[in-house]
Amino acid sequence: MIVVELGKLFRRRRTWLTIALLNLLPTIVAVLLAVTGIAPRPGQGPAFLSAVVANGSLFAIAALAIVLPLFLPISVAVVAGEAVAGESQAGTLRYLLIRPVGRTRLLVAKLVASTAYVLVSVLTVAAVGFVVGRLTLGNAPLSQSMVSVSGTLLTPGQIAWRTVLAIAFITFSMLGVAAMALFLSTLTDSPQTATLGALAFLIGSSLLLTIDAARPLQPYLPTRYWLTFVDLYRDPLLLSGVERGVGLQAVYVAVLLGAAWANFATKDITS
Amino acid sequence: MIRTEGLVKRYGAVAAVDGIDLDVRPGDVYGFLGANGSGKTTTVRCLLGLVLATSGEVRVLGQPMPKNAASVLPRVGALVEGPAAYGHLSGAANLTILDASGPAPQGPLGGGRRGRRDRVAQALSLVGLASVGRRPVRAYSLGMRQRLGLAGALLRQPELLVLDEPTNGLDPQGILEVRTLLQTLNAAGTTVFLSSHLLAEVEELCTRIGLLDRGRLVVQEDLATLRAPTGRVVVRTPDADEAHRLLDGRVEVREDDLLFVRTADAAEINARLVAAGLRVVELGPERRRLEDVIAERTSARAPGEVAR
Amino acid sequence: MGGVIRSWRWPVVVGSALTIAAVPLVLRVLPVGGEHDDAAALLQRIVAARGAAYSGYAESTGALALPVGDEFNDVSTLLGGRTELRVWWRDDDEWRVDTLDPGGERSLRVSPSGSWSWDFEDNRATRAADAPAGTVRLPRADDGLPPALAARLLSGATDAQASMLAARRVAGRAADGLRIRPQDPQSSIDRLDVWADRESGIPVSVEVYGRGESRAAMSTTFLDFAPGRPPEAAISFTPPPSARVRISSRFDLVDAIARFSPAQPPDVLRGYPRQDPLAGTRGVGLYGSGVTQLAVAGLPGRRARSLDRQLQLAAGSHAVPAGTAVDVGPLALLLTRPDRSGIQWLLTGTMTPAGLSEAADELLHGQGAPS
Repeated sequence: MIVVELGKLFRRRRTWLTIALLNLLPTIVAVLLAVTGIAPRPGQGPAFLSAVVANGSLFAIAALAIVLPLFLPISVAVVAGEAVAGESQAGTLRYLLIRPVGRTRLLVAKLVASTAYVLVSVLTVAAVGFVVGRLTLGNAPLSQSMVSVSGTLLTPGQIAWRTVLAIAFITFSMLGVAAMALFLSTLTDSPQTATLGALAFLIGSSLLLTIDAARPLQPYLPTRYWLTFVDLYRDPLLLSGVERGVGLQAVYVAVLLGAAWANFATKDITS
Repeated sequence: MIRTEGLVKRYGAVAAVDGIDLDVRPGDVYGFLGANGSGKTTTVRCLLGLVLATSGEVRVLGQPMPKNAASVLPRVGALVEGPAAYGHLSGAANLTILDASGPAPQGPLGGGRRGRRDRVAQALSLVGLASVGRRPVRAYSLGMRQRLGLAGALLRQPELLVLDEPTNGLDPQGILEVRTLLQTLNAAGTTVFLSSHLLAEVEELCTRIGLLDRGRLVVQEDLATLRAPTGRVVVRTPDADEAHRLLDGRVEVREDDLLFVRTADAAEINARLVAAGLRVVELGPERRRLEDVIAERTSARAPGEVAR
Repeated sequence: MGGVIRSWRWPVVVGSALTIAAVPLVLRVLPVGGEHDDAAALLQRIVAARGAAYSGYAESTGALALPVGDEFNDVSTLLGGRTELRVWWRDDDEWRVDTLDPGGERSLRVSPSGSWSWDFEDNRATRAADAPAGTVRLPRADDGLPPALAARLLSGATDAQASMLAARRVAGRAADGLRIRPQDPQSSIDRLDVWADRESGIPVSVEVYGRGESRAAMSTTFLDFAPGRPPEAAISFTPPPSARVRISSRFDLVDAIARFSPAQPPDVLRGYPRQDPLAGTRGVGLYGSGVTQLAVAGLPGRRARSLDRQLQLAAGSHAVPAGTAVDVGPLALLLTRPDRSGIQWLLTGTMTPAGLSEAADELLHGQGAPS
């Protein structure tokens, strides 16, 4: 079933179109930076963007930081919101269930497919960012060390495994979005509703993060630790924010998937 | 094959299905009749475990549903409320996905995972879609989609076919083909449960009838029993007045040139009429039409009232 | 039948969700137990732990919205926002404090030979010979660390002011609580709650409450904490080759006032002796200790007038007989009208508005001690 779901997702032209669009924005940014040479003022704009002009390889991370706040969650919410509600809307859900595909199994397969989408899109953004950065923003030799956020030098080996950690962390952060969209996807027969619901949840969370009065709530907001992947480029490595982020996401994923399962396993399929 | 006891499904305060005791026997072609909104589709969904009954018991192929869905459903083919497919894929690709989604059939006849391509090709040719090629379903006509839905139901050579309005959208030629197909399958041992609001279709095809009216099963009978001779003979003759006189006392109703005669022996009546030199256009035992049974058993609907 | 199937899943999911959510709460509420100190002994232990080595990750939150412009950005964030800090403290002469931003970092590394400050987003490293102790300067990020804040506010605290608070878990470690209620009527600070790590005695959480306020004006807490000497490698710094390196000219506002101030504050103000009459910064006077602190500087006319305009626009500013005052929680600011020689005095500190007004009168009319 998992193989079938993966096939359905990745044989679909729309999936690849979404990933291509996801890469468009960082590419535009890289080209603009290369043409104008104007890096954003420090403290403004996405993380690492002010540093990429010096070292194009860094654009892999900067590209992730560019798509992380909005584009990536939107694309994840679209794909995961489709998962069950899309089948439901097309009417294919009932035929899958009487094939029969166990409802829990179907949900797990949908989750795995959404996870695979998240992973593929994050990896693609990082890879395209790396290539585009090197092509447009100067190709310092790969063996060159990189300045960490703390001002010390990181060896290429350190950069590599920290970037792997960052990609893993961002992927995991997006799983919370996927779980939310998947849960809503079991509630409604309209994929758009599920997607917009998940996005509303994220926008609400991001908004609350900017309000001081909501401070007691902030450690529990799903988007609170998204940007802590920057911590992976501090020296010495700072893991506490990343650990808290992983823990929080794990709780969200567990609870939302539990709710999705509880709802879907006993839902009357009337579409 | 299918047996329900006191099946009830409520949506809020409304009972869509209100205490149904279905009994479909092996080898039946069971016609499940009812007006739109009488609860046919909800019942079918309950049988397949898509909708959970509020109360009552459902047994399909002798096993409780939806508890044993995993072992029951692979032996059941179904078409529920119209076909559905992924529009961007071809018919064959859709069937392949559907086949791969469930457990692979085992045993010598099942063919396992390797037999998938053959199973798909066979199902497509059964419904006459063998030659549509790689065209996406999006470009299919309504009739073609209906055929594809049927192909999906037939994919695993099921013991029981549950079909909801299978001839919807088909042209007369298609309807005939489907009817022949179902008869062939039934002759080969497949039990067919056919839900429909088309009397003609059911009358042509079915051996047993269940009639649903506002969530209740009001008739469940063999078609043959329902249409059993009534003990009267119908005579059509241009010499109706003479015939009426000749058969006096036994004619129960006369409608112009039609006489309804109470007798067990149609041949005797014929012999008497012919002996008297009367012309007989038509003569035969009276049979009830399904239409009449339905009109008799279902509660009258007020003009303009819409089904619940 | 259907009803039975339906019933058990949601309770299981809701139950596990509540359990997960309750775990951190339970851990926080769980009594720590084993309090053995009395207040005086605990105060003693905290004072004894001054300068001890530690490392950790702290979050400081200030609720004071300062009416200042961009030039004081760092100060206003420290007092009026949330600052995330990483610290490695070998001793008072060798430490590193990083101020973490979502997309960058400002790091200050101090060693006996001088200090490096690093700003990632500016790609700039600044070398400075560190200011000698006692020199007047603006508050810095490291002042927001629990040990530093506690050390500043607890100086002069007496056993009579101290009482015990329930022990807490801070950064997962047992910490004993101490409450200081200053008896000083001139102080604007109502109380000070300090939790000290039970093992090392180092303050790990500090909350400062103004008079009549239920919300902490300033609180700072370790989220991760480890006592013990961090390795020297964490502190040493070599500017990366691509960075812009500058040698600090140490020209900032306070420095300018200190050096070019037209007047010298008196040696005694409101009965508090001046702390640093002999240090190089003659223009700024510091008075008081512990929870009652007052800084005074004389400003030349032009500088004072622009500040006056800024203060009058600030929320909560009001005219007092001596000049213009702004109260920001327990922190009060007062700019006097020109005195006989045309100098305007800026007073700020943790004093009650009344106390600050009286100090201003004293400066204007030269009552008190001779200057």
